[in-house]
Amino acid sequence: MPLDYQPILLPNPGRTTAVALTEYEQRGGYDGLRNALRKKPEDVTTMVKDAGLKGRGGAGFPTGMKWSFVPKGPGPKYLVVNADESEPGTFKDRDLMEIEPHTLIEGIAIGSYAIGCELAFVYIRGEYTVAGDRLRDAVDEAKKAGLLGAPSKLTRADGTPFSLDIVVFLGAGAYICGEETALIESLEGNRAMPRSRPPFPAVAGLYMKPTVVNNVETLANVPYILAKGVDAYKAIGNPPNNTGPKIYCLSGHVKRPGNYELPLGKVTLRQFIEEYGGGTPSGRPVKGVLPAGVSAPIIPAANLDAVLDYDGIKGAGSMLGSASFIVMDDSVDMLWAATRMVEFFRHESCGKCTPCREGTMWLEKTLYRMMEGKGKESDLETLQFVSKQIAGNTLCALGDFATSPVTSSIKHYRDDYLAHLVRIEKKSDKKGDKAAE
Amino acid sequence: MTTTASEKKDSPAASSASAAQAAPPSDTVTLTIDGQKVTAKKGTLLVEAARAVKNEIPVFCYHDKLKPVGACRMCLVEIEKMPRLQTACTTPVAEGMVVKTKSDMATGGQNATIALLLANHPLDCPVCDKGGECPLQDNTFAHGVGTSKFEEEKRHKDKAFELSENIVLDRERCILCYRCVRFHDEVPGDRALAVIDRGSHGEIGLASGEQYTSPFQGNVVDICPVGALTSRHYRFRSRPWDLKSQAGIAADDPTGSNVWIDTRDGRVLRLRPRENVDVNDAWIADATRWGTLPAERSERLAQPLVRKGGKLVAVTWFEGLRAAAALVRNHNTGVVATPALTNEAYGVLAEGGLGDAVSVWPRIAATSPQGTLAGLSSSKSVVVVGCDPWSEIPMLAIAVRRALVPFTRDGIATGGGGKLVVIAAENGLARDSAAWLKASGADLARAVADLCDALEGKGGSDAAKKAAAQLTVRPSSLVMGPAFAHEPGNAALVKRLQAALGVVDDKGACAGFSGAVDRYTNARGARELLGDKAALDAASAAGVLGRAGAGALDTVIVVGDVPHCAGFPVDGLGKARAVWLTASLPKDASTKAGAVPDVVDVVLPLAHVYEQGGAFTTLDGRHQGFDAAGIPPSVPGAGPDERAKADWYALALLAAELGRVTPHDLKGLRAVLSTKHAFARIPLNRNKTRTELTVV
Repeated sequence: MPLDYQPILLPNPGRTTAVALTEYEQRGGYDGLRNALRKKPEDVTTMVKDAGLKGRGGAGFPTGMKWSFVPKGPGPKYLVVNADESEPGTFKDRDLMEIEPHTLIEGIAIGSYAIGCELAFVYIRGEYTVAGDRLRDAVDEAKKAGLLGAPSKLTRADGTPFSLDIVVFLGAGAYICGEETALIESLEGNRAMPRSRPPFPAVAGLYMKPTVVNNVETLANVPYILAKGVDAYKAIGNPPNNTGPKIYCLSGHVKRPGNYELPLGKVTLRQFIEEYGGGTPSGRPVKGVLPAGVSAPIIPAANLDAVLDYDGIKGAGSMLGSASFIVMDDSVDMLWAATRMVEFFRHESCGKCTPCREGTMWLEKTLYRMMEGKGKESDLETLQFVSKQIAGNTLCALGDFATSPVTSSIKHYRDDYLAHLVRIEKKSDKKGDKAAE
Repeated sequence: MTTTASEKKDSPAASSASAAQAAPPSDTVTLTIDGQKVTAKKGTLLVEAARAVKNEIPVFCYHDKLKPVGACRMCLVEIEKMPRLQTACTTPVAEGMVVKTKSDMATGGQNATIALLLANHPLDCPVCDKGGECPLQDNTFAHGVGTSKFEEEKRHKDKAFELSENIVLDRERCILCYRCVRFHDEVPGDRALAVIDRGSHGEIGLASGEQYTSPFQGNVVDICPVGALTSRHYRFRSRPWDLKSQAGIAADDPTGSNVWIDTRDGRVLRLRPRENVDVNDAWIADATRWGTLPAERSERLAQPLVRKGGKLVAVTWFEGLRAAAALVRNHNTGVVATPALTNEAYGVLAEGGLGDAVSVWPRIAATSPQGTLAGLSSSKSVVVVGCDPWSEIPMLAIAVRRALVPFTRDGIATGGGGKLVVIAAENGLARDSAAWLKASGADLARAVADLCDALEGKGGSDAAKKAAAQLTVRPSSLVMGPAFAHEPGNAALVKRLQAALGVVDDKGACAGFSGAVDRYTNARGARELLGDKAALDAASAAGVLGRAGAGALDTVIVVGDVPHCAGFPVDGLGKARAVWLTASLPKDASTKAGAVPDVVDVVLPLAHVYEQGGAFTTLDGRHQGFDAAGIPPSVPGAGPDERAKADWYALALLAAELGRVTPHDLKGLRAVLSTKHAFARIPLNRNKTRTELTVV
């Protein structure tokens, strides 16, 4: 039985048109911002901290904590929205921006007020032209209505006018731009390559000024906290570690793929696939699930009873990440799947640091050779060796991500690798037979 | 790369004791590296702190003169309380930090980087120029596991991509450390190189439509940690272990770039920058690197030539000197010296006896600049008038740019923040200039007057006002082209600009730099040793060429060759006969048409600068001595006396032939000169190299 839950972030499932400002305000939109402006900025940060909101982009870092790292002194500070949603199987931010642009804008405004930012940037992946257009339109609407602008018609708690402009920027389409420091480099007009930390963006980010980079969905959560209060927000989900709503992207071998907004920690992975996704179209059993696009270890069928929240997925040996579930039924050859994922990472590796650049290429070459039927058992050892050389040694997290499809598929589906070699051998035997005839 | 440490402590024990005794001052922190207590200045990078105690952490992308990027992951080290390995090249020291560079975890990370870098690196070390002086080889031996698990086909890319007429890039060998790209971005700032494509397809190249025309290309060969970037002038010419490196001074650079002269069997094959943070840091210009390489020894003139019956005949030095002396003795004789001789040669000329007049040709500035290049680099306001350091004296452009843009020393950004206003036709530093008032010829003076008006608050054009508004912070510097400074009508204007900029304080001291910059190697040495006559225009009525042209001289001794100025003052000599001391002639000069002008009766072959000892004085007054590196051209089968000679030696021999006693060895000559001249008291090889690191 699906949960009895009224969605907050995407309240109109199935809708394809953007929610205009009037409609958004009718349902209480921008109340959160108005409430925020009546408080001191640091109190807003405290509320977000108390609400237990964690970053929805993948790392799950507490949002209020991130805001509190920004130095209080004078000088420009920037809020940058990471809308470079490039993780395979992830499409939640796209819906949020295309359908609920004002929720994001309100979240940006509240976050900007909290950290003292007067110029915010939204970095949208290049392919999201519709989202970009709609967000720009919504920013214009908000400006005309006096909600944004330098200054806007709103007043801050200290009596000064609230001032904020939002720049909507479309990237050129690169996975690495989802990494916050690479995103900042790209926004500055440089090659998108991650920066070495320290300094962290909170100290020296965009144009070397204090910068907060937040995911779209993270900021979309903020208006509700400010409008309804910390307790109302904490009532959603599975406190203390897993509060609030979460949009789960479902794709792969399911009957009903799409975005599903649910409270954190209320359904299991099995329930989610069967009750919401309608199970596999073929009726075959699920073989494995990728919980965070391709960036986290595969969850084997044995662990499908894991609860959908940060702790539950961690307990199943993986990561909630961006909560993009790609379901694979038992027709999937996991060697093929791992090859395809490594191919993706090799293609998207920025090449700045050695382990990721050279390692993904090595993995890909070895996997290609295995796919061609020229694999040998020692290749499994080599794949694990190379993965070990990459993981933990790279400049950004992408390198670590790139190894998880390989290591987790070898761990859970070693037979696929071995069977593959055997099957190819048989094929070549057949060919040989035919040639003999 | 040299390892340096504070000389105060000799052993780890001593350093730990000193750290324990004194409470660290607030600007230092104490940490432990591999069990050794190290006290270092706040902000020092781990890799530098370790280096200071002779604990070299392996690096590829890190270079102490470039901003750290943490890309190659070679310097991974374990730091207690940190879950992941950290890059020593980006991590600053912290109080109480415990660093392990040789733990299993750290070596595991370092092994991994080597294994991954070698996966696709071609195994062509036997034919690679870098072999034997290759950080990748060295680090592989020191930090690699010795074997590779890589069984796939190696990646194929361009093997000999010609980036320019000087530089060849092997893209298969490249390990993408980005040192070359960062060098051009950060040091000259011309952003000449770029990374093209992404990930494992990434390669170094030029942005589309661009050409590689930087005057600093050769430096990328030096800093390339593999054999990816090679010089076409040295490619496949030698192995490093066959080379002998000798400290030297650039033959063409008035800023006095320090170089290593690499010779093989006495032949100069290669020049490299020799680190000197007070002069050229770790860089040299391409004009020095390749432009001053001597021609093949066997192809150059080794014997004196004497004109007999209208034809030049090769003779022994004994005969050559006698013929030259005959032309001088009892004749009205003048000397034309180029501004690129050694101080010792000018010393011999200053001692007299070779003629009653000495002129420097081509003309040099009348007075030496005030202040120093270090002062220029730390100026907050810089004005350049009537010259383009970028194309004329490239290393001076680097000195100017340091005042404008922060540069990196020991991994930490420093300096910068100054503003540059250029009044000239060309401006290679345009991208770093606050204002560029384009002017040339007679317009220069008008533009300078305009800027003076603006600086003095007496009006001026809008452009001048805008420029003047950038020049408010002191200290300030003024760099002038000699042609502008020479113009007698400009004297008052120059004084006015100097006053408006405040380059000289009330006591006459110059904290920055001010003056005309000559392009010639040793113009300052000539001025200091020859006195007033040095600045005289050789072609004027009182000058040697002027007097020769007027028929007042019978003989002119022309000494030296002029970098940046082709030719020989033939037209100025009138009816006089000439003795020419030169290093520029080919061995067949006696028969080659046009090689030796008809006015020359005696040719005495000189050694190339890199084949002789001596000293130069930089344009800001730094005396730098050097020993011979290469062996000068000689006559096959003849003794050591029959070879081309040092400029000062040839002059001393000629003076002796004329009855003047001058010491015939460098030590003796310097001893004589040292009573009058400071330069001769400085030992030849005592040129400072690397800075002492700021580790207590």
